[in-house]
Amino acid sequence: MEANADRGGPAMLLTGMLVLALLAATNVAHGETNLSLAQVLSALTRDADPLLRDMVRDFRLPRAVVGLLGGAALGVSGALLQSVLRNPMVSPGILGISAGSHLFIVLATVFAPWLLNLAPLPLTLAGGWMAVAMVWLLAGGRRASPLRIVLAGLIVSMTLGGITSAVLVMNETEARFLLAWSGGMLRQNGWAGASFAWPWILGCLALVMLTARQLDLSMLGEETARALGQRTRLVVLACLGAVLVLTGVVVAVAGPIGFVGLVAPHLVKLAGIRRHAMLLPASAIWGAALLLGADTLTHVFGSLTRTPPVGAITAAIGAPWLLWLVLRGRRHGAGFAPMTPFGVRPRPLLPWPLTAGLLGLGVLGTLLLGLTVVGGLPLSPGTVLAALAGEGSAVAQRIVLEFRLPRILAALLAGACFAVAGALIQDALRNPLADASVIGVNAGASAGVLLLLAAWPLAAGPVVSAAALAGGLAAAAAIFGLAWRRRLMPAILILTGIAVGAICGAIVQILVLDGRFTGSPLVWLIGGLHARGWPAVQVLAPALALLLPLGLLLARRVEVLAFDDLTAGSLGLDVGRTRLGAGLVGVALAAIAVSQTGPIGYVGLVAPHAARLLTGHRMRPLLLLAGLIGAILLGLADIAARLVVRPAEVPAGAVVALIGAPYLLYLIHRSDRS
Amino acid sequence: MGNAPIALEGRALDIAYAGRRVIEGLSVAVPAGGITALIGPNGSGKSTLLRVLARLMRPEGGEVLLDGQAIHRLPTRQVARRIGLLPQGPLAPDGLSVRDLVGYGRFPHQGLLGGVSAEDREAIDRAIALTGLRELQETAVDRLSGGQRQRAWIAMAIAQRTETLLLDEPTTFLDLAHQMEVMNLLERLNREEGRSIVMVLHDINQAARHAGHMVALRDGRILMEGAPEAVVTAGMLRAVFGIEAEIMTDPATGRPWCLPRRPIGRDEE
Repeated sequence: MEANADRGGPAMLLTGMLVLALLAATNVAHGETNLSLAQVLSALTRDADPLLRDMVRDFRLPRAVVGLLGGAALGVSGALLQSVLRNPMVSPGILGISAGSHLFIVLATVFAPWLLNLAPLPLTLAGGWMAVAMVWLLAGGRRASPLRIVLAGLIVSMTLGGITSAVLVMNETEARFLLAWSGGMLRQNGWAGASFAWPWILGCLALVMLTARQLDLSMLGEETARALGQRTRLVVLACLGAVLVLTGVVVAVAGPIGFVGLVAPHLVKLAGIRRHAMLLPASAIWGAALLLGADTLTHVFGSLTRTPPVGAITAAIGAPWLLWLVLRGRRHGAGFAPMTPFGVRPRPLLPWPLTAGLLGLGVLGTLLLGLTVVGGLPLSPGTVLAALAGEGSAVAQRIVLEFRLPRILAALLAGACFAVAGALIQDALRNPLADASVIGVNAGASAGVLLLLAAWPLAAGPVVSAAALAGGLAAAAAIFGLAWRRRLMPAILILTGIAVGAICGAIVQILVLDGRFTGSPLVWLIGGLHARGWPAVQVLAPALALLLPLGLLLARRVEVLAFDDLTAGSLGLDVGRTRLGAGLVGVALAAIAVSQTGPIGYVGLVAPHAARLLTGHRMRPLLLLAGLIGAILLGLADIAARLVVRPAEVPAGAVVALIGAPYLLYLIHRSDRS
Repeated sequence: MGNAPIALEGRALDIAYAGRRVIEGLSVAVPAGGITALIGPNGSGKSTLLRVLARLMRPEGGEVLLDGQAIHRLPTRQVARRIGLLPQGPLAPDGLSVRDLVGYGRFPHQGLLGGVSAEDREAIDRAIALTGLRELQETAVDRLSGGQRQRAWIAMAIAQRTETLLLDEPTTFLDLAHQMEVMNLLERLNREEGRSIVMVLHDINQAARHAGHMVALRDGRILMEGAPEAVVTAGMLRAVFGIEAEIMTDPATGRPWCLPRRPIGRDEE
């Protein structure tokens, strides 16, 4: 039995080395100009053409070596994480470790470049460690289910990535290039990167091999491993430390690169390899092959001026892989976990109409605040009211009616849409960390916008919104369509959403480099309410007026979805259809809101939880209160976004993330303690 | 069982679970107004059969008849007004109160808007009273002890007011006192309200004591069915469970009582 388990091992290692050698040769030969193998070899001789020699020695070879080392590091990191967490869906990218390391690198680049030159590794380690700590908290610590870890990682990745973009944008650096770099690039200028990386990576790989037998034991489960005498916590910490170092080094030299860590170990496991003594080296070899192959492909897609980031290519290869993995897998905890919100009251604090009234006052207050304090010219409440009534000076009327009123209304309406959508999606997918942005709607909308701009670079605002809506809905349709045959099981839906979102993200990263796009359409990708006016209100108001009642009508059924599928079914609920209905209403609301504001996360994640604390399980009051809270949240965020760095603006989405992330962590911490 | 009226009937059922055919050509009839126990070793298809009978899984072949109608062609809600199922280890959302949980039993009887009628309220009150949960009705379900929680779930199924109630291992994970409490409650429901009860049980003695009709499954086929006295025999235990056992009679109830001695073919090794 034991001999059989890894019979494919040596073969897998050998083929891997062969493929790797081939890919490495191809990689060196390809680039801005393509070389023959003979040219590459001649460049290595002493009396080579100086131009050719410099190109190969200082650019091509270091790039290939970084790709080799980086791919190996990511492959092994993925294998380690999957084993230690006993979760086949994790990788350094999915857990947010890459995003955390990257954020700290970017922060240092912008604010303290000397620190970056002095000690890049501690920086990336700190960032990675922060991400891991956030994921651990969000996922609920020791009680974390595999799916919740994946979701928490995704949320952390999105948050940290969003902050990274905001930092870059606010420093008015060339957004396009930095967006591309955020996708990871192997391009090297000399040997500095490679010579920094190799001791760390090879050292870690050697150390990690020592844990191979311990990891075999870990696969039996924590209790069993401990009963067999393993110091489980030590093994977990050692492996996590190795992953942080490996990932941090890769991010420092090449930026965050996703999916290599996910796919490489699975390729190896598909060959039947289970024992870590074989699994780890094979993952390293196949990780290196994947990354080098993807890097070679970037030259197929790009030209000198716009080579897409290698991370986009690995995502384009890896995400369909994830999809396949999800849809063919038989066991995902099925539909048997109930909704576990972060704290609810069995009985509401106040009767819900009273709470709704109070929150309504809050919305009015936000509205008034949005009309008075923001903008270049503070207006007194009296002036504003007069202007609303059609009196007062023409200037004041114009400011209030044409600029401030539509913008704050758009913020309030979009906030309500996001929140109601989030409440419906969380209950439909029975997962407290689900949200339209998590299941790929935002990424789909962004991809829609860029595809439109690729075809028609000068498209006007309303057309861009329509493309965003189409993209978001198309992504959602793909997700629900793919998951339909697996009876729309929540875990399947969520994981499918993550994969579809990653594919859309890859499209965005490949297209965003197109030189034809200029200015404002790219701003859309950052998200926010800058320069939004009556047209946005005219879309959002009818959408909410139509879809909210639909949500309320479904509410009673959605409530029953909170039970496990068997119980819900025995109560006479058509589980599949209800989930589809609630999911589609939620996705439509979110896609419409995204089309007007650009991608904004967290409102749909946080507002429903805040509402649950006030009302309990009843879905109808929940939807209403969540809507009101979402309106206040995005309204205040937009006001704050304009006040903080006047006269410039922070994207409202970043403000929401800054409020939302700590609040969510607090809620989870509280609910875990009780 | 003879010509007793039938509550629910499966005919020539072929059932696959997770891509594997687990039941083939099985026919079973549940006597109306009785207590039926499904017994059999792990993996014999008991729970799967229960789900198919409750219309929660579609069979690949054959049909389930309720009053002569194929239930897989009836609307979910209509079926849920007549057949209730309590799955094994059901899960409720955190923080849900007992009364709210029981209230969901009325879901199949309510319209799209979900207003609570006087009949709903009466059914909920009665279910709570029957299960002795009146003092606990405002408590969150996740705060209850195992036995109380199981009673709360049964209360939900009671409030559903179905003429047939299916339960998947209702006594697993309960201590002896709570097991007896649950079984007595089910007997009372059967006796006083005339509901047909079908349950999967692991404990043969429990099944023999409380059921009027027993169905023994192995490898997706019915090996034996009938009254406990006819089913619980040394031959059945050998064929279905692969054990040698002695059968005695419980002097208090007159029901058969089995004392397992050893697994067949393993003791010599």
